[in-house]
Amino acid sequence: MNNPLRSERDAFRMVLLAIAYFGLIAIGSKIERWLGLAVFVVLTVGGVAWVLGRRRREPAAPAAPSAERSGDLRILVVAGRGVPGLEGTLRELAGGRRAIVQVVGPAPGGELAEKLVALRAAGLDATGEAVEGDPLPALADVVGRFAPDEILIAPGGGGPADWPGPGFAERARARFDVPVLDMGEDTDVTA
Amino acid sequence: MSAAAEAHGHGHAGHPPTPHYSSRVSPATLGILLFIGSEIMLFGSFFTVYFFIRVVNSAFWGGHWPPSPYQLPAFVAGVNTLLLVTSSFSMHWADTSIKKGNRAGMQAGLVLTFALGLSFLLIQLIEYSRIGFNTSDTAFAATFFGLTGLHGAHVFIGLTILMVMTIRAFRGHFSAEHHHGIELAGIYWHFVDVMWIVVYFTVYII
Repeated sequence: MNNPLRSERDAFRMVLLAIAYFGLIAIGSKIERWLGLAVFVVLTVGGVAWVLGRRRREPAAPAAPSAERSGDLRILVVAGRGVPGLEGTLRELAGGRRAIVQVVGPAPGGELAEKLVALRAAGLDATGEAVEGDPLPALADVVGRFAPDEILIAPGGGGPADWPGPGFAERARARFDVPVLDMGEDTDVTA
Repeated sequence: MSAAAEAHGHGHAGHPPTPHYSSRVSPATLGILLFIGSEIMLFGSFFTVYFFIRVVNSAFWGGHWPPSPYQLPAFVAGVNTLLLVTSSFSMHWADTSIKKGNRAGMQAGLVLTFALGLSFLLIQLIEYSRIGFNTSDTAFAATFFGLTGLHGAHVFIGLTILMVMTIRAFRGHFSAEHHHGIELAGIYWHFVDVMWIVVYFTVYII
């Protein structure tokens, strides 16, 4: 269900609904106090039922593109500050397929831009996004939009810059129904 | 969390990524929605006080609302309601006009909305001066002025926003592609209208 005040048009519709809702209750209560109460109950219950029913009837979100359908491999890379061998790992993962890469890195985005330059120079179709704060909620949003086939975690070089932080791969595996590969622990895939 | 930046296309690769909105709602729209959310809570607290006073004192006032000898000018308030509802239609006209690239329609809609809103506020003030009781008279009077005064303050804020948007509209700041200010002003104005409908039916009618 959309936010009823998300746009001017939706807000205007709310005005019309409010007039209808309160107008009918007022007419009912003018005739007989208990009739007004009955109208209020019927309209409120009916309205809630309609909203809940509409939510169930709404079509599911369009299916995300996947490797099976397009022949491409969509890889979401969570990249820390120091990621040696990332290009090679991505090529290995793609296994000859076209890799569409979305890189998520810590803000500010200067280092992310450099990574994108390197990935594009290596012939990969890469876009990027810098995030602030806890990377997991930010990643959830990107997963929803990008619909990756694989998530590749390439952690930073240790110390305070060790983004996205210890145990991130476990948290990501628990949250997302997408294979999660951690370059920090799955050494067999690193180039 | 917030996604702060995104890089699109190869041409931007050498520069820091451009801003990205991870919530899928523009910051301005999110801001007005959060603001309206806080306003709903504010009005909710005033309505709570109003219904508490009304229900608790119902027996004391003999089940009459408004309590004797007070009278509420329901007819004048009804005219005011009509003005405000009409202003929502003119606001919607302004918004749909600019979306179609019709600047004259937008300007006319904004001017009409502003005039109707100003009329509402002036009639409200005249009503206050003739109503025959003051805020300190009873709990009923205090809640009446509290609720309608709170709404009047919001109309005043809405008129200020509308005035700014009207000036901008006449300066050519809006087009079919760029009209976010009109959209947000419209959302706020409709919210103020909905709140008045609730106030009118609960205070004056029911």
